[in-house]
Amino acid sequence: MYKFIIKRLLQLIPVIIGVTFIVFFIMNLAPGDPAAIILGDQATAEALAMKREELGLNDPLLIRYFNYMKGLLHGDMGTSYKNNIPVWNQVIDRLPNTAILAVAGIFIALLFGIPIGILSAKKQYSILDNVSMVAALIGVSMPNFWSGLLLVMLFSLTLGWLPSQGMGSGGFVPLLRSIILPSLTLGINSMAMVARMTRSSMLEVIRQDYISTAQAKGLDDHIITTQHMLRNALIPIITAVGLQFGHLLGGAMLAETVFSWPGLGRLMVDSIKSRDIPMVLGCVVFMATMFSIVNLIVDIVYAFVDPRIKSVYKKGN
Amino acid sequence: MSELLLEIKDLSIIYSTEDGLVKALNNASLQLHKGESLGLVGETGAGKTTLARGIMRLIPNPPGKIVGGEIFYEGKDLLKLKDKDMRKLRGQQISMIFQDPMTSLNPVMTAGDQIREVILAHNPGMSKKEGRKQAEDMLEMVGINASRYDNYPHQFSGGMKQRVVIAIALACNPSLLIADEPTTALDVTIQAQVLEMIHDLKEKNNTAMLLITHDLGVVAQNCDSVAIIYAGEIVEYGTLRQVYKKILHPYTEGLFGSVPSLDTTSKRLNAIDGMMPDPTQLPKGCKFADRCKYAEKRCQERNPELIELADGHKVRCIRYEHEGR
Amino acid sequence: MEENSTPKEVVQEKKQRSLWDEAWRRFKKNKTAMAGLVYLSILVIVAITTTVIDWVTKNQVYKNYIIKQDLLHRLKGPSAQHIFGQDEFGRDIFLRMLWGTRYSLFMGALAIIFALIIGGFLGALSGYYGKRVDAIIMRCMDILLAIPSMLLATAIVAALGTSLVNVLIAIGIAYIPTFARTVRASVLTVKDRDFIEAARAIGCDDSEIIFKYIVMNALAPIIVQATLGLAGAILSIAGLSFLGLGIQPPTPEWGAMLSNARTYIRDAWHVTVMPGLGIMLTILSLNLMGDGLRDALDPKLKN
Repeated sequence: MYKFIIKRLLQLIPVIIGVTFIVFFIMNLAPGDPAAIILGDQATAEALAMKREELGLNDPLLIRYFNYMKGLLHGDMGTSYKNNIPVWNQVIDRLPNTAILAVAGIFIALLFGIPIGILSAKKQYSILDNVSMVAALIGVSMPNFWSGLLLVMLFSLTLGWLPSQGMGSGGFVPLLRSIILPSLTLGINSMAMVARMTRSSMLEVIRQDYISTAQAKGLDDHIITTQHMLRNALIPIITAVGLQFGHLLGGAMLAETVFSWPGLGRLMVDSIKSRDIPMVLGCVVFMATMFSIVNLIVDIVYAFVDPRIKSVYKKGN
Repeated sequence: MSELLLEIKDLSIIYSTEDGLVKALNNASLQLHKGESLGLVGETGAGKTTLARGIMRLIPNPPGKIVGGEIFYEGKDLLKLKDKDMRKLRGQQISMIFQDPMTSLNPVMTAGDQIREVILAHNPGMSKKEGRKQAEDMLEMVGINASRYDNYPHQFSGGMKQRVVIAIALACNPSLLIADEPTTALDVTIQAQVLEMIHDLKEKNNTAMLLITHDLGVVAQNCDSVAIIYAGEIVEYGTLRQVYKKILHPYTEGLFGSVPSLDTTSKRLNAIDGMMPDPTQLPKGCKFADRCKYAEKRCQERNPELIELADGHKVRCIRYEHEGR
Repeated sequence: MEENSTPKEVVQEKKQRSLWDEAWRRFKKNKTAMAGLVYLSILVIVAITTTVIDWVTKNQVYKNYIIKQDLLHRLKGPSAQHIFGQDEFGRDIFLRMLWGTRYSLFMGALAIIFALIIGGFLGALSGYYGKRVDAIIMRCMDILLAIPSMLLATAIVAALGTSLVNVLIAIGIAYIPTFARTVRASVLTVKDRDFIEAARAIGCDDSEIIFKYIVMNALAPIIVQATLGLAGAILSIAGLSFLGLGIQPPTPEWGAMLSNARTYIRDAWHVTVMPGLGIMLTILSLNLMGDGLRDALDPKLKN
């Protein structure tokens, strides 16, 4: 198992290099001279040239990328054009806020999505099944920035139960109160997706011969459901959840904007508007890396759930 | 003859599908005595598996439903049992081996645990350790080294998987084993081994067996009596000797004609012409009439009864109706 | 006898109908999928009609009704005259939504077509030639997939700037890997079938085989993927516009309308609810259609 994890970790390296390169390349297409942005309109031609040299802008793209990556390994992602604070520090500050939000979103998605999916599958074609699948379909179709606004209208403005803006500080309760709406906003799509996925995966498993075998053993229904059906149905669900995490990170930009949540997503949107390229680059690199790491974790969990993968690896090496 | 173990009376099972109502099993009646083996023979789609699942009350519902009949097991009507009581019987009194060993085992659970599970389910209070020991004994009994307890199904070959399935089925010493084409999915050489093992274990524990197959040779080697099933109906039923010595039903005749034999000189096998009728639109007369070389006009008009001849040999064919008791 | 012969004829006739007829028959039976199709057809008609109106009237309607402000009636709720109410500049929300249909639909469709052409081409190459070509292309796709699509689109817009074309390219690129994978998988499943061998035997060259046989056979999963992808693309366009990185006000794009509405969320519910409802129903109808298409084109997958 350790071998498997190490192998997957090694495989992560080219992905991260590829991802950062693509992002670096895209951001380099940005028009405008960074030196001019930093020094402002009044800068002299010599000052601009000097600044350019200092920033390494005269080097070819690959060299600049290489230097960027070298810096990245030391926690140096350049400084923000806007406030001259190192990008690394600002990104690291915001990272936990986005991570908390995303984890809470996934948690909500799994907490409700899986049981709904199981019930639906076990009572296929029942009223419960129909109602929850219609709800799930609507859930999948709601743009999350809109569902966020609706939640604010209902729970903050009309009922006044929960805060609509910002991240609560000073203890667990304020944080919890402030995270409920954003994480729900972020989690609704995934919840609906997980419920649909769980249902179809369960339906697939229910018809398998080994379920008949389990029934023929005279096992209790709940044991058949959890031990035999769910454990097999989980395999595709785990993959789906991994992919959902990517949607979640993309969605975080929207949810964080709606709720003024001080996360990476909002930092990125603000930086795009102020054309703060190093900051945008930093945010994207971090989020993409985060997604890659989540995918790695998914792969490892996957191997734990499905013995076939584990042993393929053992044989292969 | 020993005590009656299982008696099925007029069992009827339907499936409702998009294309219409499928009458999968119509008024099937069978008897099985303790320790006896009954072969149930018929082609794919004839209702063999439906009958087997019906006894276990494992007809997938929807779309399937038992619509009539009774199944007496040791005098109790299984169809009237509470779900909880039925669960207690399954695996302990009545076990079932499904067709395909490749898919009959849960891929994410070790083989040993799958055997232990059934032992623990029917021996409340037994410790996990004790359960494991018994499961290991079962593995040894079906010829698998106990050290492979912790292996997953994909680490076994097809024949070994079927052995594990058999170990599961026999773990609680059931009185009745339903084996649904236990060897069809296996290589020919393995088939013989597995059948022999089932046979030995069954003899040892005096287990009765309902063996479902389309292989008349397998029946001849393993069974005491035979029922031939066609389009959801039992068309011929008797002891092995009765049926093999004196074939009555034209369908059975056709089945025997399609078995290759060493002592005849015919150049080709005599397959039965035609196909089984569409199960959503069964003819009102004899179901086999369309393919029957003896068919007469009256065969189309009325479905014959299953009649018992003087020696107890039963057949569903209009040509024998005058001979019935 | 008569009765007995009918089922056989039915079976015969069923076989003669082509795969597509059969799929359409199944699709028609699916009421929710048909509802999605009908709703979507209406949207397409609306989008075309409004475009034609603008063209015929030389944007007079657009200038006078869609972006012209009426500050006296700001944020007025729904009424008989303005069924969805008026927005923060007193404009009719319903009309603006009608005029906004084209951005979601046409831009989404263009982005998906763009992704489909490039992704499909790469996927077909990858699946057909295998080995080195496959390894290189698919590694690149894996890397693209490793960036969440919304994030990638945002990054591209951030770099290139927020023009219509850039938004389109950004979203298109984000969907390339999805199609490359779909097409590659389909190609791999049909590649080794007998009819491909037969085509090769009668002397068809590679490009002919790829397009005539493999692509035609891979069409079913591509259609499903394109429908679901379109839903995603429309969401992305709306999302980018909501963030202020997509289509800019006063253009009546639905996401952009929502972005403005945020400011007035305390004062007027309809400004927020209506455009969002428009997006949701569109996505919903696409999802319904996608599900229906999947069931119709691949009955094996149906539960």
